[in-house]
Amino acid sequence: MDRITTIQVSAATRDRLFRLKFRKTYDEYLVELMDLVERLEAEGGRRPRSPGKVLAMSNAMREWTKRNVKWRNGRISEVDLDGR
Amino acid sequence: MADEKFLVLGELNRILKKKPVLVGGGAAELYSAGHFVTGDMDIYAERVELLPALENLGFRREGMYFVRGKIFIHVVGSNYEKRVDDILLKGTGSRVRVISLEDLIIDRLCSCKWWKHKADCEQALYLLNTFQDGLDRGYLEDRADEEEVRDTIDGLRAQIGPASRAERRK
Repeated sequence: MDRITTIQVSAATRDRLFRLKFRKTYDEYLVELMDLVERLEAEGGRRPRSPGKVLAMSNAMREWTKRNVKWRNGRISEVDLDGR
Repeated sequence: MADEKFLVLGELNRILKKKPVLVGGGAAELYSAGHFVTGDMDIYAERVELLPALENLGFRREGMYFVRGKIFIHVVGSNYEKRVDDILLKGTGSRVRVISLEDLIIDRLCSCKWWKHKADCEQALYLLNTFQDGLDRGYLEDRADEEEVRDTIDGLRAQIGPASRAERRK
C-alpha cells in the first residue's frame, strides 16, 4: 500500500472527515475540533487505551454481545439489536 | 426495535434481486450486537437496481452518500466476492447479508496494520476475543496470509491469551 506524505490524508480518513463535517462549513468544523482538542489538553489529555485495558473493559461487553447473537451450523444467524 | 439503518438494509434485501452486502463499520456494529456504533453503512450493491429503490425509500444523494435523516449509505462496490452470511434481525423479520465475520476481522486488521486506525485495531481485538471459539480458523488464517496481516492477528491473539486465562480462573 502506498505511503502518504505529511500533508495527505488516506481515503478512510477523508471518508470519516466527510461524515463528521457533514452540514457544516470546514471553518465551523475545524473550530469545533480545536475547541475539543484544547478542552482535552486542559483536562490533562487523553491517552490511547492500552490493549490490556481494552480487553479488561470489554469482558462484560463481550458476554453481552455473545448473549445477543445466535449461531446455526457454525455461522452467526441471528442478532438481537434491541438489547442495547 | 432494531436500528432504523438496519431495517432499511433489510428492506433493500427484500426488494432487490441482487442482494446488498453490508461491510465495514456497519457490519462491526451488527456482529457486536451494537457494542460498536457507526454513523453510516458501507454496502456492495448493483447501482442500477439500487438507486431507484433508495429514491423510493426517501433517500437523496449527497456527494458519495445516499442520505435520509441520520442514515448514510455509501456504495463501495457492486460485486462482493468473499464469504457472506445471512443474518436475521431478531424481532423484525428482516434479513440482511453481511460480510463474513472472518473477512470483517481481516478487514479491520488491514486497517489496523496499514492505516494505523486504533479504532479498527480495537474492533478486530474485540471480535477475535468474543468469537474465537466460533470462527472458521482455517479460512481466517488463509485470508490473513493473503492480506499479509498474519503478524497482526498473531499479535492480537497473544494479547487475548493472558486475558482469557485470567477470565477462566474467575
